[in-house]
Parts: sequence; structure tokens; C-alpha cells
Amino acid sequence: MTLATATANRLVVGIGAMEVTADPAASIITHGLGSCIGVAIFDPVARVGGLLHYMLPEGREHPEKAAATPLIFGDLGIPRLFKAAYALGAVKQRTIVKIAGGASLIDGAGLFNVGKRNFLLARKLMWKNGVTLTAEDVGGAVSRTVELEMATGRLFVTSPGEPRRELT
Amino acid sequence: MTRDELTPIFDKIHPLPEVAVRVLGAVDRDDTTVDSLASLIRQDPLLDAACLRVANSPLMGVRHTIDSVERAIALLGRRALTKLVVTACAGDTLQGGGDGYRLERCDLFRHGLAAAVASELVVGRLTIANPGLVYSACLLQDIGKIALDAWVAERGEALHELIDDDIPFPEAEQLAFGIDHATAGGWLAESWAFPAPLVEAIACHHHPERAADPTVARIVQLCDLLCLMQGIGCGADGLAYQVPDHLLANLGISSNEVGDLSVDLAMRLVEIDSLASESITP
Repeated sequence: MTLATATANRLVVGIGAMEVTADPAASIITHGLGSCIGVAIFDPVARVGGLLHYMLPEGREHPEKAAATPLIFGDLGIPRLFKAAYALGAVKQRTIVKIAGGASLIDGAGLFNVGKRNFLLARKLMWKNGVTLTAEDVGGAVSRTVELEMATGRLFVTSPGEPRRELT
Repeated sequence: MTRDELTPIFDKIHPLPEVAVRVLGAVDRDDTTVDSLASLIRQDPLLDAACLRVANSPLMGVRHTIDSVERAIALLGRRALTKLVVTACAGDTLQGGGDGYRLERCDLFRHGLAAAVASELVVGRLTIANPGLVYSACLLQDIGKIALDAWVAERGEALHELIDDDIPFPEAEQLAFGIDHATAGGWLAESWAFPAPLVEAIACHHHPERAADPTVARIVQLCDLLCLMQGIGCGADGLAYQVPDHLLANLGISSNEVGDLSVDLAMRLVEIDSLASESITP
């Protein structure tokens, strides 16, 4: 059975947005991660999961926009994702964290070096907070679509022309 | 692949309506009158209806209902009307580029529309005499992918191997087929009698230094890159595009402004997606 038919409730996450749910019939999907990062979390005991799609690493570089749309920034969005999951019963020590995205243009001068900076921000934040990254599919030059299946906590990644694969 | 080989393929592609091409020719010309644009649009009832659909979309940001071309002109002005006509027509054309480039049905138009919206954000930071040309070039930049798609689908293995070796996508196309989609797009634009500056901007959007007016091509390139970073319209090419070292410096834009532009573009994505899905024929 495909994921699309197995889930009754597909939550779509846009850029600079997140979804957190305890609905086992749901899946959470975000499309077209270019340089952006998708952070997926899942507590297998509480059965709470969430997905954040952030675009830029740090809000302090863009204070006005950070105030208006904090989830666009990793340093502001990631803590909010975890807090929203904790509010539904997730526990930090049990929570499985996976990330995908962070692709880069061919950019020798580093003018558009957002993908790598996005990934480094995620890794730094997790390390500072004692959270282990269970799996990652980052970098390269491919766009990715990420889907978290709430019934199982499995995370799937697809890229144009490539078969759907589970991120383990 | 030569121009002669491509010509029969060009003939099969849904062209922009003649009226739209005439509007493109009038873009940014000071002697273009509102009445002349309105009469052009009214000649084509389908275009008239499509213009009203776009005019009433959230993307145009008009709070009042627009029920006629005259009302659109009054509320949007001449330059916005030109944008409206080109946007209304492009959805029917930008439906190709599927199997070979691994794009979904909506992707080419969505990418073009997002790049066009990005161009408005960029142009707002610069002094540009021809914003309508920039908008149209951004919207139509990838028409060459429609022409090359079947070719890529049949013979794309070599192309994908080159991309896997970190060759930038246009160079990989050039190596695999002897032509890239920008050049093919320029030829297609020429065969549709697009104005010469628009042909040049489409043909040179991955190599602005080849253009007589590199500024327009540079803005198109920047807007393209902004969209790709956000995964908008990425297919087989992904993000495999070279950022020229001096792209931002040549435009007088700082790297911090790139972040601001990215956020501003992201804030418009819901409107872009809405219009893109409405404009593509099921």
C-alpha cells in the first residue's frame, strides 16, 4: 500500500512553516527543499511528530523579517518545532531527529552559500542542546521532497527522477 | 543539435498569441498608449478573460473586483497591464518540459512566475528603465526546455552523467547535445517574433556576459537562482547552476540583500502557487 492511500490526512508544510501532530493517520510533507532544510522529529512512544521547513540559518541577520516570520529561520524555527512537539507529549530524550535538504548552487565565491550554512546551523543547534541527529540527507545539487509517516515515524525522501527512499 | 533540426519542434509548441507578442513589443515604450493596449486585448476574447483572471488574483494585489480591461487599466496602470497580459498568456505555453527535464506539469510556469515576481523585488532595489522586459524575460526564460524536452528524454543519459560529475547544467547540455536550453529558447523566441531585447535576455540568461545589455540578463539569472535555491521548478537540473563571482557586484546588490529577497519571495509563494495552478489547463 502506498503512503498516499495509507494516510487519511496529509499535512503540507510550506516554506517557513511547520506542522506538529499526534494523529497516527496523518502524514506531513514538504515539497521542493532546495537550499532549505526540512527538520523531521518523531517521538515513537508519544507518537508525536513534526516537520519544519526553514529557508535561512539565522534570524538576527534579518531582524524585521525574523519578527514577522520566525519559522523561515532555522535558529528560531527549530526550537519552536521542538516546543510544539513537547506540548503534545513528546520527550526530548526519545525524540528521533532527521534532516534533509541544504543543496547548493555551484558558487565559488560563496555568495549564495545558504545550503551549507543551513545544515551547519541545524547541526550546531542539535549539538548545543544535546540532541542526536539520527539521519541526514543533505547537500549536493538536488531538490528534495520529504514526507513523515505518522503511523510509523518513517521519513521518506524523493528527488526528481529518483525512486522514493526511506531515510534511516 | 542545430537550429534546422529544432525548427520542426518549434512548430509543434503552443506559441504565445499574436496579440501577446504585439504587447511584448510595446513593453516599456513611452509611446504606447493605454487605449492601444486595451484595443489589442479586446481583439481576443480568450485573452480578455485570461487577463481578468490574472487581474483578480491575489498576486496582483488589487482589492477591488476587476470586471473589464478598462477597469484593469484604471487600477493597474499601463506597465502592470502589460505584465498581466504576458502572465495570462504564458500558462498555456509553459506546460512542457516534462519527462526529459523531470518537471511536473505546473513547474515551468510556476518557476517562471516566481522568477517574474522576484524580478519585481529586485527591480525595486535598482534603477531600471525596462522593468516590463525584465518581467517578461523572467517569466519566459525557460521556453527552450519545452523545445529540448523530448530530445533530453530520449538521449538524457549522457546529460545526467555530466551533472553527476558536477558540470553546470547548461554546460552539460552543451556537451551532450551541442546546445543549451537558453540558446534553444532564444531561437524559439526569435521564431515567434519576440522583440530583440527579449530574445537576447532569454538566450543569455545563463551567460549574461554574452548579451549586448547584460543587466537584463543578469537580473534574469539572479531571479532564476533565487527560485532554484527555494526549490521552485527544480527538475533534473536541480541546483546545478554556476553563480558568477561578480553577479551581485555587477548589479549593486549585497549578499545580505539576497537573504531579504529570498524571504520576500517566499512570502509571495502562496499567491504564485495559486495562480500557477489556476492557469494550467487540466
